[in-house]
Formats: sequence, C-alpha cells, structure tokens
Amino acid sequence: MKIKLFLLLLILIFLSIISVKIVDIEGNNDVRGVIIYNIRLPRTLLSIFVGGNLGIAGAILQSLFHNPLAEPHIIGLSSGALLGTTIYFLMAGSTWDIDPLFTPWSAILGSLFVLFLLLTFNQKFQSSNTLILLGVSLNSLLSSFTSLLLFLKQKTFQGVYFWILGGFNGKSWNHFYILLFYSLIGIPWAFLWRKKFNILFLSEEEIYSLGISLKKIQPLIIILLTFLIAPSVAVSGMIGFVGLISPHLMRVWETADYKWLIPSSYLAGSILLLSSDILSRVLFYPTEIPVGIITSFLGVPFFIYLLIKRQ
Amino acid sequence: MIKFLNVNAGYETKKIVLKNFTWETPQKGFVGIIGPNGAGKSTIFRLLIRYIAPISGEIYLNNIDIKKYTQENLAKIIALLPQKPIWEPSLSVEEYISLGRYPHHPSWRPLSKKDIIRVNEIMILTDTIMLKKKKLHQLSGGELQRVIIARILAQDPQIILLDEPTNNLDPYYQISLLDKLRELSKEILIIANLHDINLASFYTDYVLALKNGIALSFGKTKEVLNCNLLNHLFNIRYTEINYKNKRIFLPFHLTNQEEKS
Repeated sequence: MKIKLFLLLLILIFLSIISVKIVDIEGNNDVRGVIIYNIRLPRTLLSIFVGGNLGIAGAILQSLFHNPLAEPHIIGLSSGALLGTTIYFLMAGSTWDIDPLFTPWSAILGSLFVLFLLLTFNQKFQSSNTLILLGVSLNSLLSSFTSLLLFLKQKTFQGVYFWILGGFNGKSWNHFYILLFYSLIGIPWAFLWRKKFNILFLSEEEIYSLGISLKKIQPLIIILLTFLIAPSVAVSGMIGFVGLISPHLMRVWETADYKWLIPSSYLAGSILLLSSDILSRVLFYPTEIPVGIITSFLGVPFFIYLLIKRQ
Repeated sequence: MIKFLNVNAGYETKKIVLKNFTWETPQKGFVGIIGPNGAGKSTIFRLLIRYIAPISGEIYLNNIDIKKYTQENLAKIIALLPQKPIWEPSLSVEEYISLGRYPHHPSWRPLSKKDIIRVNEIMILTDTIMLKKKKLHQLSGGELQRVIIARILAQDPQIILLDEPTNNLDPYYQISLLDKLRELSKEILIIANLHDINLASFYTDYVLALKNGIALSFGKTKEVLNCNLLNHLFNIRYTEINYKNKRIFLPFHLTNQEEKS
C-alpha cells in the first residue's frame, strides 16, 4: 500500500516538472522566470489541488450514497456551485475577477443547496440508480438556469462561458490561495475521518449499530464535501469525472478501504487532472482547449462502462 | 439486561407500531421473536440501536436509560445484523471484519495491535481466516454470511440482534448459523426475529410472541410455544408433533376457512 502511494507521488512529481517546463519559452532568462513563476507554477499547483479535491470528494460521495457512480459533476453538485458562482459574477457587475471571500462562498451555497435536495430525496427512493437519474436531471436544470442568466446578460457571456468550460488558463496565485485555504481544511478532515467513510458505506441500521449517529454526522459531511467541491469549481469551472475515475481505479488497484482510498484518490485525481491539463496545452498547440473537455472525453466512456458492468 | 417500559414507537408513515410495550430480557440465552409481518419485530431492534427514538416510554440497558449512552458506547454492547446488510464489494474480508472494531478505538488512528489480534482471533473462531485476503465479491453466499457474522463478533458485543438471519439461506447454512448462535448464547444474549416456527422451537431458550405491536406472551420456549399461541398469532391452525424430545409445529387450514366449511 505504501509503495503504491509512493509510486503515485513519483508520477505526480514527474508530471509537475513536465507541466512547468514543457514547450520551451522564448525570450531571455528573466522572461522565462516570470512565466514559470507567475503562470506555470500556480497553474500546475491548481491542477494538482483541484484534481485531488475532486478525487476524494468523489470517494466520499460514493460512500455517503452507497453508490460507486456518485460523482460531484454527475449528481449536480458542480452545477450547483457553478450556478452560485455565476450569480455572483453577475451581481458583482459582470466581471469575472475572483473575490477571495464571495466567490467560493457563493459556490458553496450553490452546492449545499443541491446536496440538501439530493439527501432529502435519497431517503425517499430505494433504488440507488434513482439518485443518478435525479442528479442528472438537477444537473441539466441548473445548467439551463445558468445559461438563461448568461443569455440575459450577454455582456458577460464570453468570459463566464470560458470559465464554465473548465480550465486553468490565465489563473494566478490568487486563485490558488483561495483553493489552498479550503483544501487545508478539507484534506486533513477527510483523512481523519477515513474510517467513518468505511462505516458509512454500510446500511443505515448498521451505521447506527456500529456507533455512528447518521443524523448527527450527515450535516458535517455535507460541509466537508462542499468545502472540497465548491472552491474547486469557483476557481476552475466545470471539470467533470475526475471524482468518478480516480477512486474507481484506486478501488480496483488495491482495495475499497478508505484508509487507502482517501490518499490514493487524491494523488490519482491530481495525476489525472494535471496530465489532462498538459494535454490541453499541447494537443492543439499553440491553441489551448479547456481541460473540462478532455476530462469529459475520458470520463463519459468510463461512466458508460461502469453502468454496463453494474447490470 | 434490556428493559422496555410502556414503550410506544412508530414511523412517519405508520404512527404507532409498538403499543405500550413492556418487556424484560434475560441476562443471556437465545431469545426468538415470532409474529406476523408488521408486528413490530424490527422496530424493537431499531429502538435498541437508537435508529429511531420511542414516542413515549423508557428503555433501559443494564439499568441505565439508553438515551444516556453515547452512540459509540452503545455499539460496544449491542451489535445488529439487519435484514438487508450493504457492503462494499471491493473490500477484503479482513478489512470488512475490522469494521467491527470501530467503536472500540479512536477512529482517526490506525487499528491498534490489540484490535488486529482480536480480529485475527475472530477470523479463526468463525472459520474465515483462509478467506482473509479475498474480496467480498469473490465469496459464496455461505462464506459471506460467515464473514458478516464475524464482523458482528468483532464488535465484542454483550447482545446480538439478528433481523431474520435465516432468510435467503439454504438449509445447511441456516442450521450451521443457528448452531453457532446457540453456542454463543451460553455467554451472551442473542435476540433473533425468526419466521420459521420450527427453528424457533428447536433452537431458542425463550420466545417473545408479538402481534400488532403488543406482546402476547414471553417465557421459556418449552412453556410458551404451543398450538394455541400460534393459532392466535398467525390465524392458522397448527398441529404439534413430538419427535425425539423436539416439538415440530405443522400449519394446516386457515382458521376462517375451517369454520366456514
């Protein structure tokens, strides 16, 4: 288990070096230094943290809903955060400059709202596939709402649209610091609670009988999840399927025990998103494509494969 | 050990399931709860793990009000096998059984040596040690049943609640499970909902008969379980057959039909 984690870490470091150094920069040493320090370094760190946060958020959602298909994007949490942030951007006077306080919190409120809806309905439905259907419908409803808002305020359309597509182009240290703040709460928290997530995968009666009061713990997990998901969406837009692919691969590679799943999904999510970001830069060089498009191209076939396998 | 005092309990959809329920369990032994569907058998268990709270009345565990326990301390005493357990199929047998240690150690720390040794002992005891590294999805139905029981034993409970444990098991596993429970009941208290009257007659020390949320009778199986009670419980007439000191109950004819004809 430790060797595998070390291996993942090595891959991540290797990719980070590529991400910072790739595609040679023209100009003298000063210019290169500025580009590396002000553009490539924050961008690389952002991909690592967003990927990691989404990875463990996916792992935790899968335990909370007893469903291996649960993922921030698929069940509509990202769309909720997206709508929240879009509303903020419009209210802030059609800018798309990030505010260290209001941007992440409008995203947090958006995804809290969706998570609350999902949990309320999840208790009413018995079949676990209903959750996915419900999430998908919420997802498209909220996306349409976001589109409507943008349509009414066409001035902002282009800026916000690129942000929605998901990417790290033009992101600065500011974005990273905002994300770092919530990650420093969310990541250690998720790790300390790793054993609880093992128990939460069991049936409700078993959860109580093993000493966890679900009623008491659920609100806290909702807060943890929104801290992981919403700031990531606020700084980088809609990036789907990282939270589905990484925990799933890690489950198959070693085990579903969360003492492994939490750290490994984090590293796997980082690796996945960082390599997608590198791809997004070199694939149509010198044009960059939004990284959210790449993760969807990888994620949708994977999702369909999982659906078929579950039958 | 457990004492129910005038307990009323129910759910959102069905307000009152248990009515003015008063019952005191023995310290140890094998207790079977029998009764028709919806009689409130599972509700008793849900109250004991505090999955639901009673509307009125009190429940005492070792003479202390159950509300005064923390959920974790309660889990050190009472373990439950629900009707439909859920498990993560990619978990290994050892990891799954270790979940039973959850209430016994601080959850943010790795398992202690003592816990690991205990899990190992349980695996030897339940004959699951050779499955240790296997994933749950690779197990057969019988193996899985043993592994789930092992997880419950790893909790080191003084009371084990089993909600229809013999459902969906073929006769071989039914009997081997009940043999094991009988063995355990010499040390601790086992309470099981049983649909099969004959298994209850063969294996339990005590029987609680429940109908419409009311306890019809409770006592030693030999004294309480008879055709009259069963007739009353299920509206079916039963015949008793004695075979080698065991009593077998056979149902025949719905009482109402009998009366009509």
